[in-house]
Amino acid sequence: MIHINPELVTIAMLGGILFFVMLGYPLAIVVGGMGIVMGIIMFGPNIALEVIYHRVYELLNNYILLAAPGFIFMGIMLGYSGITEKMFAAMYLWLSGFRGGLAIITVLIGTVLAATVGIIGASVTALTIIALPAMIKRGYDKALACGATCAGGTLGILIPPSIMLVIYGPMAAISVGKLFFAAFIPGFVLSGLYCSYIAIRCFFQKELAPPVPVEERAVPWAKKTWDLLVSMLPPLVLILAVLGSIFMGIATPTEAASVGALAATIMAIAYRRFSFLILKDTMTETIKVTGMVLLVGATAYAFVGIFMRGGGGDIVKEIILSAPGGKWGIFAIIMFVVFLLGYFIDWLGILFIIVPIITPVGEALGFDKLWFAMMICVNLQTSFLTPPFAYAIFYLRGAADPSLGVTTGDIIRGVFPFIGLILIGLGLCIAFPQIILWLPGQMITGF
Amino acid sequence: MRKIVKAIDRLNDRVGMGVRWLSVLALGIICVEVFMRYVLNHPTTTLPITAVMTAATMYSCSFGYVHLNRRHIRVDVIYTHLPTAVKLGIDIFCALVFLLPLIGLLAYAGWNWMWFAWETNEKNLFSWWYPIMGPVRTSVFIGFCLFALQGVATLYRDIYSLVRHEEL
Repeated sequence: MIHINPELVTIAMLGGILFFVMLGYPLAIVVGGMGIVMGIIMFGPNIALEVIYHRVYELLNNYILLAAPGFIFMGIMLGYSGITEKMFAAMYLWLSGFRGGLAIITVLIGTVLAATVGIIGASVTALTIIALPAMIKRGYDKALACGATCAGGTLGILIPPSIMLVIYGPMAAISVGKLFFAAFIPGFVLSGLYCSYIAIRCFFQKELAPPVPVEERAVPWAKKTWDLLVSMLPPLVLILAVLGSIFMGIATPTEAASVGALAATIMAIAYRRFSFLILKDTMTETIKVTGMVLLVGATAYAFVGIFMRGGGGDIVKEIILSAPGGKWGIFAIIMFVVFLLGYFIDWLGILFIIVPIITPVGEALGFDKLWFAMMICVNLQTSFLTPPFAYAIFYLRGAADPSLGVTTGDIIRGVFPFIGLILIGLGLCIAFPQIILWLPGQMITGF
Repeated sequence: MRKIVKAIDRLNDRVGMGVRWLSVLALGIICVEVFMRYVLNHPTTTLPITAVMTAATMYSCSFGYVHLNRRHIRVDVIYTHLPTAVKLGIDIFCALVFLLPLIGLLAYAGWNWMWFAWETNEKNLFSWWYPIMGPVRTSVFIGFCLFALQGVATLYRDIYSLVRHEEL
């Protein structure tokens, strides 16, 4: 056992993981290994062992986190059910006549999908396969098309149900149900900002997104309306059932997730897309994603235990609180650091490691806990879009048909305006905190 | 050694294919609980805890499978542009420094706690059901062991590739 002063602990542990994670070794193992090695050096093997095993075991046995496999299962199953194609086909008839209409459809479908899935992989991939080729074939600007796809798909992790919020709750001791409803309106605000941006830009730059010729959308009104209703109804019912039951205080997020997974399976059966093979694929993907998330979660939770016991948390708090500019100056610095980390680090790392460390800082500054949490979550939206490390870009590049000729440069150019829009959204949430706080205040009860 | 590594790969693949059913099982148990509570108005304390224990088994037993398929979250912005030898070097170095202590200690602590749970008849205190903790401590230990085995197997494979310049 060696006594190390807390400043050194902070630098060694945070700097160490940053270095090795940037080298490309798996986050979970770097974080867990760093926790164990530093724990043994500081407190000896016995204490380190107990802290790590207990924190890992506790996280594995967490009832709220059981919502994660539920929402992941539900999202993957919905992807197989084919609702995205149906919604796109129906909205196409309505909006493709406007300049930029297809890009707006992409964002709108991203928003609806976001309220049914909790991971961005599912929604970005679906939009890339269905909406992106349609836009590019109609002569849309590639950058705009890619930007709309990435930004619309990324809403999936903000608008509830969302894995990000399921994880945030236990990490910051906030009710997941409250977080869900705090995220609802900010998610729609972002979606509205994206749509207005596309509409305004396409209005002024006529060659950017030409309208689809009339012949291709000459369908009677009655059929158009019917198609829209039929395609939107099942996802809307699912959204109302899952989120409504949480909002009314009937079900816990875990229960809502399980019932949602069942409902998604029933939807796949109803659309005649279900097969035993698809069930097996869904399960395999579910355990791969949950295993990966829970391993990062468990090791990061253990790491934070060691880090806090070594005094690192107090040092971080001291450093942040001694920053100039008063309450809002410090807040700006926190947001800037989260934004900056989003360029390089995985969102799960930020969530599992940074959130437990900065939550007490937010409280010490006197910010509303829920509002502060949601500002971090909205800010994290940028981390999916900011290159070089941006999941939305990876998923788009992975799923895009090579014949479309989309380059990484197109995607990055397309994504940047949307990052600016997210920052505007953050500004709106600061100016009008009710965007975040109103809806959770209306809930019947909180879990 | 080659045979052992392949056997570990196969074992974790089989385990992964098995424990994926636990995802449906855990979600199904919660659905049954929802049905019991809201339809039959007869909530239970046993079902939610059973679901949590099922999920804990699923998570821990999937770690080895995730490691086998290299599905970890990694920031590979720099990594993908490095030559193979450097990649292997990073993997081997980090495995020695971070992975081995992690899997070693988890398996060791899992073993101790498994025996403790069985010997003292440790009970789960989340509810008045008080189920014994032995089974879930055992399954978590098994999961850690599978992860440890896969960690060693993958490390051996990386070293083999670096030395022999061929895949195992």
